[in-house]
Amino acid sequence: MTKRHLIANFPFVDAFDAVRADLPGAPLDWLQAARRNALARFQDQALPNRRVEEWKYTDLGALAKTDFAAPYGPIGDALAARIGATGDPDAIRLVIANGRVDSALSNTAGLPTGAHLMPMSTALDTHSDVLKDHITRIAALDGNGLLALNAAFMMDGYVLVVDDAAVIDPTIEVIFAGDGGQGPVALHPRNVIIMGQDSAATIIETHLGDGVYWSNPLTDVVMGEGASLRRYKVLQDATDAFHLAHDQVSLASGAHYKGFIGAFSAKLARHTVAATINGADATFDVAGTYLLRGDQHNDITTVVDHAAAGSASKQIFKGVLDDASRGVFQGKVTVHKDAQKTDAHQLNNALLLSDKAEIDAKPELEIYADDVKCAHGATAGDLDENELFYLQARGIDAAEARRLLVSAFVKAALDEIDRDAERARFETLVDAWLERANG
Amino acid sequence: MADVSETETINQATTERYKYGFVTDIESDTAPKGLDESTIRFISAKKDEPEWLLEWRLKAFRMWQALDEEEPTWAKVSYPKIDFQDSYYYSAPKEKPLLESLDDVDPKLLETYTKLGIPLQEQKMLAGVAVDAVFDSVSVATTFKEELSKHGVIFCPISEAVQKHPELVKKYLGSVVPTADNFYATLNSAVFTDGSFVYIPEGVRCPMELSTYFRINAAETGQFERTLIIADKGSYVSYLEGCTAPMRDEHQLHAAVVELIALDDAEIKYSTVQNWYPGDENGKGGIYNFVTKRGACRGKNSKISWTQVETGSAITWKYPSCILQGDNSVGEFYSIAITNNYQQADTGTKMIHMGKNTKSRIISKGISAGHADSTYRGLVKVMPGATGARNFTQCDSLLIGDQCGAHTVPYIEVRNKTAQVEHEATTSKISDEQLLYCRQRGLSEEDATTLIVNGFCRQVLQELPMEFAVEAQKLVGISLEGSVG
Repeated sequence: MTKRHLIANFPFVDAFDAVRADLPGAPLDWLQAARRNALARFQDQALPNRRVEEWKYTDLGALAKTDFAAPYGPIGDALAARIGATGDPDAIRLVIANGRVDSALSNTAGLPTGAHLMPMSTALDTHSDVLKDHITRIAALDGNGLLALNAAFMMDGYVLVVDDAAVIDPTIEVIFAGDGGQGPVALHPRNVIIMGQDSAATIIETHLGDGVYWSNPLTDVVMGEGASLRRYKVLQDATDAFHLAHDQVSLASGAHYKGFIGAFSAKLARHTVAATINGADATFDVAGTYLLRGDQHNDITTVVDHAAAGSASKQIFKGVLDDASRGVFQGKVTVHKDAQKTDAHQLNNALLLSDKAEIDAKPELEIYADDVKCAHGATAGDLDENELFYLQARGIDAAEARRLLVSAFVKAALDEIDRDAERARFETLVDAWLERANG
Repeated sequence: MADVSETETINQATTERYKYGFVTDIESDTAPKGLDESTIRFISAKKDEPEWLLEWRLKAFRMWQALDEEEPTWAKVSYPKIDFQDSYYYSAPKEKPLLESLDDVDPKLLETYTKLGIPLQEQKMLAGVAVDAVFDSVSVATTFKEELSKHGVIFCPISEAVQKHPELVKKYLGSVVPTADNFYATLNSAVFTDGSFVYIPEGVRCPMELSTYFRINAAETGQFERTLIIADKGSYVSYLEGCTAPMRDEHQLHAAVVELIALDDAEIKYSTVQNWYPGDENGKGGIYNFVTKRGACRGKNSKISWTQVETGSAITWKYPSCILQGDNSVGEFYSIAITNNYQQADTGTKMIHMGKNTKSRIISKGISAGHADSTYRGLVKVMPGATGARNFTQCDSLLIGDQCGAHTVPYIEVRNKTAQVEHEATTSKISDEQLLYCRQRGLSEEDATTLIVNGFCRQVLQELPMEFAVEAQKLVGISLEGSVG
């Protein structure tokens, strides 16, 4: 242990031997070995503290002090009812509750041919040969204690495999629920998305729950040549929840990834989106909005590696910070030596609505190729007085004028969502957030 | 391009001065190799310092020891570990052997001077030629000194200020860059040998650019330079440090500390042209320039403006910063950092907004060529009390060739909703269209590149005092020699 580590003694870590038989893929020897290695790595790495540059603005102290246990089994009825009311009830859906698939609430019957959707536990029973490579690769990621914990305690997440040339039109809905009703629990969902050549799919993930819980999802996305994936994430976690997500995306030539993150909740959330672009004409776009109040803390950290020539990436984030909330945006774009003709854009705009709110932004460029177009921008400030005055002069009251302007500000990010139904869903959530602000 | 080793030749010419003899025996004026408390006591005794300053140095030294040689590693630069016990920390200024005439000077060096447009008499000074009666530097310097003292301006070596103006030194030394600020500043606090001290009294507009004086009086400053500039209420001073002419120094590590203090309504303009030995085209040798520069706008309506043209040094690690304490105070940072061959530069600024209606502006132009790496690293911080703070930051990088790197690492921390903070950065190369346009009109590729780069840097060059702006423009071209074609 060095001074860069935050020491945490979580009960669920101590219970490793007791719980591992219940975790997915228990009969697989290689997986047991991988879990044990990962646990040893966590014990060595612990959690990153703020002396680690990437964690400068996000303090895991409160997380380290909470006694997280392994999940206590099924979720409460009220939470189950909320899951039922989320999204389109007729949609293809998979529900992961407290780290386990909830078959009663899931419905994958309407899945078109060419798409395979199942929980991690099922996938390990039937396709462990396919998953082995993915799981081993993720285990080798030189990351931090959070990745090691997910590798050691990997629970049910979703596995989506789309065959070559299969174009899946209906949106696939995945709902993650955490229930800390019987005490704080730690959840480590693992998702794997494998997009075949020229395949296409759309996923919307919703995260919600009750009480104190820590969700630590790790998503591994591998996109074949010409594949296209839209992945939307709705964060409606409980007010006292911790959400620390890591996405690892790899793109072959001609692949297109379009991600969106809507963060409306959780006590402390961090979304690390790491992408490696390995082929020409691939595009990696990620956009999002974070609307925070109270003492919420939301951190968006992107790491985009342009490792091949002729690719493009775009990032647009809009943050609205009220009360004593804090927003963090760390965006890093690296253009490797051979990645000529890279086109990378990155933008983070933050609106501060309160004197106690804080935004910390670190948009970073690391460029080793000369024939590139890279730009980033970051702004922070309050609403424009002139715009407010303009609206008020036309008979709109101050509160409504502010609501209109904030809504317009956020809309620039929502416009990145090119599917109407999903965009509408985010718009509803933004409106609901703004209603509360006025109330 | 055949001329790549020009800088090297120049530096060879400047380092080889001892082959002409005339070395005085100075052994007794040199502290033994290594660094411990006795070294500090030796330096302090040599300078006949008062007790409080010795204590101050020792305190810094103990802090530095406690850091256990853990140098900062966050900058994007790499170099072999420095052995701090393997160098000398004090040697009295050496007498330079004088040459008979300019005919004895390496023609390559003269060529560079001519390209920079340095006047003939100054060329002699810089090359170490005995200066004739027509241009007596001593008398010119005396005239300047009289003029300055007439206005009450104090401008002297800091060691002299310790003796003559202890109250000012005691009050302000270490008040902007605390002893424990960072590894190199702590080291400097323990072992600094000399540097400049400037005090501009209340309401005085310094009658001349302190650069003019400085250039003529360019004394050997040593590797641990300490500069302290205080602009009292309503005063103004413009200070230029460095020189466009290539400079060779026998110390590889330079760890200077510069502190600026601007009181109510005062303004300090600090310009730097840094052209130290960058190492040869294979990245061998060259100066490590690890400098802590910081200004405090203590008073209301005060202003501190940093302008820097960084073309030399193997490694540059410096972040001239402004602490905007006074209401309505203004901080500015204009920077050009050119890296070629294997040079590495990690430079930028910090603007800390504390007072109401404070404003800051950052314009940074990084140019990388050859195998060089250039990083802009900056912080804009708006504290909760800084109502109405305003910042604008623009960081542009230009890459010449596909073996170099350009990086931008801005930190933006805002804790006041009335703040307006804007940051934008771009990275690009010289476009083929621009080059074609120039070449169609008869410019060589190299001249065209220089012209375009100068255009790219214009916003910063125009902030320099006039005479240096002209030289700096030419320096841009010289620094990029060998990077195209």
